Amino acid sequence: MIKTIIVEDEKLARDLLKDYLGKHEDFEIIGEYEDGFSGLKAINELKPDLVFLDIQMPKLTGFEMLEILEHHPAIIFTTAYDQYALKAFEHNALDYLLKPYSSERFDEALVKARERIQSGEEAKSINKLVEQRDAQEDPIHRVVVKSRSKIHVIPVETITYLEAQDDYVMIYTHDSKHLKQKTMKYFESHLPDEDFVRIHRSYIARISEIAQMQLYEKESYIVILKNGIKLPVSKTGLPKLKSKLDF
Amino acid sequence: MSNPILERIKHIYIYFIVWVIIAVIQAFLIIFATDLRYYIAIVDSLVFNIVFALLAVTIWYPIRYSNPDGKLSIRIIFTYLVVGILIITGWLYLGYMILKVVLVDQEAYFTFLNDSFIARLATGILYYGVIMLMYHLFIYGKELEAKKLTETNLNLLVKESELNVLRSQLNPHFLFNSLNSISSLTISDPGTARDMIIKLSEFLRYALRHGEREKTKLAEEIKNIELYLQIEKIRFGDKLVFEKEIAETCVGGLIPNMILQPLFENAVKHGVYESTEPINIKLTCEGVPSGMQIEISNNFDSNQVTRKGAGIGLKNVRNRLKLIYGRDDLVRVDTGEDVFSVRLIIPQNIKL
Repeated sequence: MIKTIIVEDEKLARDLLKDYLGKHEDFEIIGEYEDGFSGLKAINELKPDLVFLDIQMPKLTGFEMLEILEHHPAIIFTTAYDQYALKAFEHNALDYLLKPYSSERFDEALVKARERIQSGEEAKSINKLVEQRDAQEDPIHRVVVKSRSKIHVIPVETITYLEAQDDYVMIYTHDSKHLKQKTMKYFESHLPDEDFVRIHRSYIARISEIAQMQLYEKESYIVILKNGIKLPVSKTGLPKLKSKLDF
Repeated sequence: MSNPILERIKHIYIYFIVWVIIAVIQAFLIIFATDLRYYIAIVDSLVFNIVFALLAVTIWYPIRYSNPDGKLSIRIIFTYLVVGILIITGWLYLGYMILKVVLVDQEAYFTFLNDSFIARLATGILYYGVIMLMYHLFIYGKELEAKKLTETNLNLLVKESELNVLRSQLNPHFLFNSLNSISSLTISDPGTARDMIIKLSEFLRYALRHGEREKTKLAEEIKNIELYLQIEKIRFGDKLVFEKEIAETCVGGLIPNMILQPLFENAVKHGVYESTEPINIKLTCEGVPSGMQIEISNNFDSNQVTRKGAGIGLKNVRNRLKLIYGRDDLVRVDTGEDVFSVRLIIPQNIKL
């Protein structure tokens, strides 16, 4: 039996999925969830083989869920109008269903899903999908992080600066810090360009948090943030900082 | 605006070539009218004309800085007179000085030089007038060009906002999700499916009619909003609650077609879509001295973190009202702890 979970906020859409799935006896629905948080928790706990995942949902979007999933099932996206965003993922053998979809189209998706589950390549393609999603340079509005068993949603407005730490990035806000598995390059291209500046290989600072810029030794600068934190400015960071500060 | 003569190298060349031509013509006239030697006539007209050409370049600055918008007034005319006297006096003085030095041994020439003073003064006044005219024509042309550009930009803005209105009316997310719900209902509840198809059709018909008339009765607009909300309610059930309070005076009021739609879509998108708890959407309308005040408010999940920039719909509403009523103070937005509200003032023609 293929263990299946449905994460979809609309009851009628869930009903339709269940109806279409009813014909296929090798699939067993082990849970249905209405929002990203409960869906995420269930996937990590119940470890399904297949997930039908809506993209627009309360609390956490389908894409945000993927970033912090611990268990990597096969995924079929269901969505009304994100086909442009989804085109890029076609090659990853992760299927998507554009609402409204026919039962024939649904069956095709299940054929792919069976193949994928039997071959056991899921984990790799989820990471690839997240990577491809990252390559699209839409600005982000929030960052989702997971620490132990808690999920934090950090609004971009609260971020003061970021620091590279090996394969991770430490995100600092006014009153907390969170580790996120992403690259500095990712944040440099996704944080709003008018608000943040990459001042160093290891640092990105919020422009409005910079209180002063000081000469430190010969020809090297540091910035002092409003909360007193001092960050180094590199040779390549200096011209960027100067142009952002109109200096 | 920079000096039109010094603006480009090409202009400088043309300017001096014109002056050299004038100088040559003048030299011919002198030769024709007097019995001075050719080279003296040429030196005379070259000196006077080139000196004027140089001085005339500077006239631009008093024009530009005393009179930046190119209009005439008593004060400006006075300024021009003073500048004119200074330029012409300076020109004659310099011209005589240079020629007396260059042609120091030409007795016959000095008589001519002194006799021709009045003619030279008249020429100076003529030159000054022509140069002034030229500068003013230049300013006028530049301003016309700028005006045309603003007009084109404005037209573009109108087109763009019309397009955006159209786009926000036919929100594809709403359409496809509704069709998916209908698809689901055909199995479980065909009656409701049919009901939803009819509501969706009526809604679309109203949306597509936009453009035939710019304004509509508030009552009709509300009827359409209710269609939209009923469709969303089939999808989201008890998660969506709608109430309205419309004052008697508002019912017959006129408002721009589909102006409320994007605001309700926002309320649904940021309220209902993002919450797991029920969302109350409230519409009120009351008469105010300048017209109608319409308020749309909704509560939202206060734990929610904004995902996408709100505001495109709101920006369109603001732009449209500005285009229709010529005022940009008609929209007010309040974001409270857990309530979001938008207040619109819709001006009405005062008639009883």
